[in-house]
Formats: sequence, C-alpha cells, structure tokens
Amino acid sequence: MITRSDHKGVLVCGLNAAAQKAGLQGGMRLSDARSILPDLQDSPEEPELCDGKFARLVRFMDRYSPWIAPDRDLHVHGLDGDAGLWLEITGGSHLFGGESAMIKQILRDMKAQGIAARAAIADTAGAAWAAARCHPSNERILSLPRDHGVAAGFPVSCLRLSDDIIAVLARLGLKHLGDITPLPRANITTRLGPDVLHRLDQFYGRLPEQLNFELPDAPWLIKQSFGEPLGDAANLAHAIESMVAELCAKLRDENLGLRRLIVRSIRVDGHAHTITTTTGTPCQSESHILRLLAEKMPGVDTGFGIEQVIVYAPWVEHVAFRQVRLDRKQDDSSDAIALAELLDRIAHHLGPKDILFRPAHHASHLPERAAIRQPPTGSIKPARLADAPLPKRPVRLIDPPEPVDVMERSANGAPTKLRWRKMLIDVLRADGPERICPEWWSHLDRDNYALSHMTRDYFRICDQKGRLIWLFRSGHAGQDIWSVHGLFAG
Amino acid sequence: MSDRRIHQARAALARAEQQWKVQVSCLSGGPDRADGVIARAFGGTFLRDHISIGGLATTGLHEVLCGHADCAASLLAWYLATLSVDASSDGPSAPPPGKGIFWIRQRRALDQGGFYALSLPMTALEPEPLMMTVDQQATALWTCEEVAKSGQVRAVIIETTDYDLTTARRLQLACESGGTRIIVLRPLARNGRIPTSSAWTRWQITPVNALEPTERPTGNDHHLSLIGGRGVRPGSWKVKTDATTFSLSVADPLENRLSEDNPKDRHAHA
Repeated sequence: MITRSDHKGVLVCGLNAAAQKAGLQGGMRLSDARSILPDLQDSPEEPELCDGKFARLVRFMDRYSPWIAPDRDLHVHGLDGDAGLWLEITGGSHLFGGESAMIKQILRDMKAQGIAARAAIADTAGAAWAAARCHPSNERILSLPRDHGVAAGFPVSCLRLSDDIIAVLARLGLKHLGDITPLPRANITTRLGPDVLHRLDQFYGRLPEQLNFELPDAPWLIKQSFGEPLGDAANLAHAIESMVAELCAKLRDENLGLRRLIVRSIRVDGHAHTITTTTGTPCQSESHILRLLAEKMPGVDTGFGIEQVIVYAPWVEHVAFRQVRLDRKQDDSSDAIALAELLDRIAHHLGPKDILFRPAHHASHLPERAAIRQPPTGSIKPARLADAPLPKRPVRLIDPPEPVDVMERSANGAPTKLRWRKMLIDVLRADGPERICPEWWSHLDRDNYALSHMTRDYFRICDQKGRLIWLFRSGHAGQDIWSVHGLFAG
Repeated sequence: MSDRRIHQARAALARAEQQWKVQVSCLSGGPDRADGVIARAFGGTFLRDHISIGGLATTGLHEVLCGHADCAASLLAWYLATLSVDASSDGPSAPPPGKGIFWIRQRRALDQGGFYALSLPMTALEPEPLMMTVDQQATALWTCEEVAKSGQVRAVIIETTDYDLTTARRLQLACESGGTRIIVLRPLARNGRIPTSSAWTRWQITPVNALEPTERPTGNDHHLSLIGGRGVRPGSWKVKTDATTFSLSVADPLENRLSEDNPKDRHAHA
C-alpha cells in the first residue's frame, strides 16, 4: 500500500489487488486501514519516481501512436488504478494487423512491463474511456452506430461525471446511458446542469473533446504574454523582432539554423493569426528572418489587441559552418549564405505557377524529359550532367511541341514545304532523321506497335529566312504527325 | 563606433566608389577609359570604335532585340552575359567560381519556347545557372532588380515584354548597386519598330536571309547589329554562331570593315 501525508494525516492512495479485495479504498486513513488489515505493509509515495515511470510509459507507448494524452493527473489518480492514456490511432491500426490485434499486442506489451491494463478502441475519446472500463466483452471495440445497444447498457458513471451528479441520477433511477438518452434535453439541463449533456454529446461524438497530448520537448519556442494587449502593428512587429532575435541567439549557441518559423499572434477575442515562413537553408540571421516576416506582417489584424505571441521553430537543422579565412574578409561561405537569402526572398514572392529551379539532366532520350528541374537550394542529386555528350540540341525547346502541316516531302521523307503558325516555310536544307525512342522499360506492358507509335524521327531544317527549326515525325506509317519541337541558333 | 558599423561604412564607401568609377568611365574620355570594360568581343573584334567608353560595360543594362522565332538572340544574350574583361579577346570562358547566371523567363514574353539548358556547353553549367519562369511581368522585373542589387550572380538575363523608361532606370541603378550585368531579351514590335530605351547598348541579331541575292543561308551565319545605346556608334557585323560552345565570332573582318564604311549597309542593318 502507498500512503500520502497531508494536513488530514496519513491517507491511503495506492492499493494492490489483495488490499482492494480486503475492502480497503483509496483516501481512507492509514489507521482505519490497519484496523482492517493489521499486517498491512505501507510505504510513502515518491512523486519523482512516479513522474519518471509515467514519462517512460509515454515513450514506450509512442510505438503505437505519436499522439498520447494522459487521461487524468496520473500523480493523483494513477496510484488508484483509475488513470489511463488516450492514444489517437486514426489510420494506424492496420500497421498492427487491425484493431483487435492491436489491442492484444498493447495488452501483451503492458503485461510484459508489469502493468495490469485494459484497452478499448472507440470512435470518440469518451466512448473509449467508457468501453475500457465497462465493455462487457473481452474484445473491447465499440463502434457507435453499430454498437448502440451495447453503449446503452453502460452505467452512467462511465460519463466521467462528478460523484454528486451520479448520486442524483441514481436517486432518479437513471442508472444506464439508455435511461438518459430518451429524456428531453431541456429537462436534463434544468435538473442536473449542463455537464451531463456535455459528456453525453462528447460520448456520441456530437461535441469535440480536446485532449492534452504529450508533445515532445519544443525548446525552440518562445511565448510572450502581454498584460496590456498590443493594439498597434508597430508594437507587435517590435515584440516579434525581439523574440526572433532571442530565438536566433539560442540557435547560434547550439550551431543550429531554422528552416521553418511559425509566428502566432493571439488576439484578445481568441482569434489567432499565424505566419509561416520557410527558408531554403538553415538560417541563423534574425535580420533575414525579419525581412521575410515583414512581407507578411501587413496581413495581421490586431483588432482589439494582441495578448500573446508565440514564436516557434518546428524545423531546425545543423549548420555546416566552415571558416576558410583567418581575416574578416568575405569568403565563399558568406557568398553562399547571401545567395541562399536572396533565393528565400525570391521564393516568398513567387506566384502559384512561378517556378525557380536549377536545370539538371535526367537519363532519358526524350528531350522534354531529359531536362529536369531541381530545387535551387538544399539537397542536390549527384548526377547533374549527362554521362556522355548529348547530340546537338536546340537552344529553345517548344514544349509541348506545336503541330505543323507538312505539304511536301522529299524521297527520303524529309519535309520540303510546310506550314507553321500560318506561315509557309520552304525548306532549303534538311538534316536527319535522328530517331529517338521512348524508354522501353517504362512501357513493358505495351506491345511493339505502341512503342513504334511513340518513336520520333527528328529533322533539322533550314528555312528561307536562315532559321534552323527542329521538327519531328511521329505516329505510324501512313498516319504521320509532324510537330515543331525547338529552334537552333546555329 | 562598433566594428560592425565600421564594416558597414567601409562597404558603403566601396560601393559608392565603384558606382562613381562606372559613371566617370562613361562620361570621361581619358586614356584609362577602358578600365572595367570589355574591349574586345566576337572573336577579338575591338569595340572601342563603336562604344565611347572603350568597350562593353561589365555592369549595366544591355538589350537584345528579338524577332519572331529568332533564337540566335538567346545565344547572343548568353554570350554577352558570360563575357568578362580578362577573357574578352578570346570570347566567353568559364565564369569565375561562385557566381552563376540567373535566367528569368516571363511566359508569353517570347513565343519561342523555353531556353533549353541542356544545349549549354558543359563549362557553362559550373556554377549551375538559376532559372525562373514567372507569369507576371511585375514579378519578373522585381526579381531581376532584386537579384541585380544583391550582386550574388554574375549576370541576369530576363525575357520580358515591353517596359518603360522608369523601369529601365531602376534596373540600371540596381546594376550599379550590385555590380551586375542585366541582359534584356526584348521582342520587336510587329511592325519592326524599335522601342525606346535607356540601355547602355542595344543589339540585334538576324539570320542571313535567303532573299538576299548574294547570300546562301546555312543557319550559322547571322547579321549582328549594334543599333543604339549611350555613346554608341551603330555598327554591323556578319558573324558565325557556334551553338556547341555558345560563342559568336566575326566571319570575315575585311568584309565587315567594308560594310561599316558603307553607310547604306549600316542603315539597312540598323
């Protein structure tokens, strides 16, 4: 038995199964407990030990879901055996072979840890709490539309109501959920207050329930509350500036740089405005961060005042700092930082269809697929250049290719007269064809006819104006399709 | 005064001195006027006879006027962007380490498709160029100004539609601030009219036309025209383009000299 001392004396707060079987209850005096069981062995509680075990338990349960919330204050109720953990397993149960298998595995692991436990799965947190304690079957899975009859048989104590309300309900003869749900809601509120309906609605999922999830440590978070709300945008900007400077100083001490920053401004009316900014490389410069934030600050409406500001860096990375000079002159690393900051500023101005990239080569014969786009900063693929020199390629590539109307052809199939963009083009010279096939390994399910249909024969023609045009013929024999794909410069 | 402020003051002073040198080199006609300019280009051709400052300014705004389906202008723009003072006699060379070229393409500016980076020679891909495709002209011009002002790239090539003199002046100031070169690929008007501009030099390159009785088009021969700019005497050269090395070289110096002496030819090309 575990005891706790307070101003009322020494009280019982933790019991094992034998003590509970003997009739001892939590909260009773130690002297009363000894009168029932004279051979009682007791020891005082150790809060630090309890907290440590709870932290280890949360880390252990992290293997099932990252979202873990304590049911009640385990320090107070855990020793009674009346506490628990909520796990948000939405979309994750199939990784353990289904919900039934997951429950079995959790119970097996808890038993191996030396903890007696019960587990249940339900659609809402309240229903899971009730099912873990009151579900009649061994496989405690409660799906509310289907198991409405089972839920109706749960006692009213499973609604997590106070003892006073449960006593009133018992006096009224309302012992199960099925007794309460048919009653008029207005009468319940009048007689028993709002708690009963609130918990009932949370049980059936009509009201949301906020759980306090145990999130990992967030050292890169600075929170500041203001006794006098900030009504002016300039004051808000000044507050954010000092907080960002503080955060960057912390990051510099750890040789880290932020990749993403979230600034959350909470107004007195509860409305929150969130600004998120992302950098291409790990950044420690507060001036650069503030410049990026300044572009989004005009969108913040202070309303009746900002009472709290949270600056949080959810994504930080190690900064690979390398000093190459002993003096203070500018070196390549400072150039790289300045270029990264420039690209950040540009990226914040891009529209939805705007693209900023570094060109790179991809192993493909098709011209439009051979050139790929890589991000301007960050991880770079090693193969930037082609393994072997490419054949002569046009300076400008028209993508998608523009169809042309070939009016005359020579004996070898090259065009001699064609119409492109409503202009008649006389071909003075034609080089080719250069046959380019698609990647056969990408079309293994197709037959040879389909592959030949996708094969292109490229010609490089010189027109009467001296322009070099790259056009190709695709399609099958008798159904040629001609398209212009690029322009050469010489 | 802290070290940081002294540092900032020194940097500002250096920038101001650099701007002052550029402006003085433009205005003065002294013996050292060729400092900081590209005196020779296009296969060793001297530019001092056509540009009053002694050659092509390494910083500042330059324009290449572009006709319909005329992609030699893209090659010329890249060539002008890669020119450097040291390597001016031999044409473009590998750019100095650290600074690349930023190519900004505005959709619908030129109806010639997109610049195909794989056509560049291997040496041009180190450092790798940065490319950007945008919808709005305002975004393209803002990016161009921001990049030029930062001085973090060697040159900016921008494909844009028509822009006014105020914008050109802003770009010019950005170039002077960051020591960057801007090459603007600008489409010609449908009627062939050449729009006004405050660029330092304005170029046009057209393929040799088969309609000219003495010419036989090969695709490599082009007429290169210096059609205007500040302190510029218009000129025209017949050049050969090499798409493999992305270079231009004057085809026949003697022929070009005769062409320059003939005012009729010069007027025709301009």
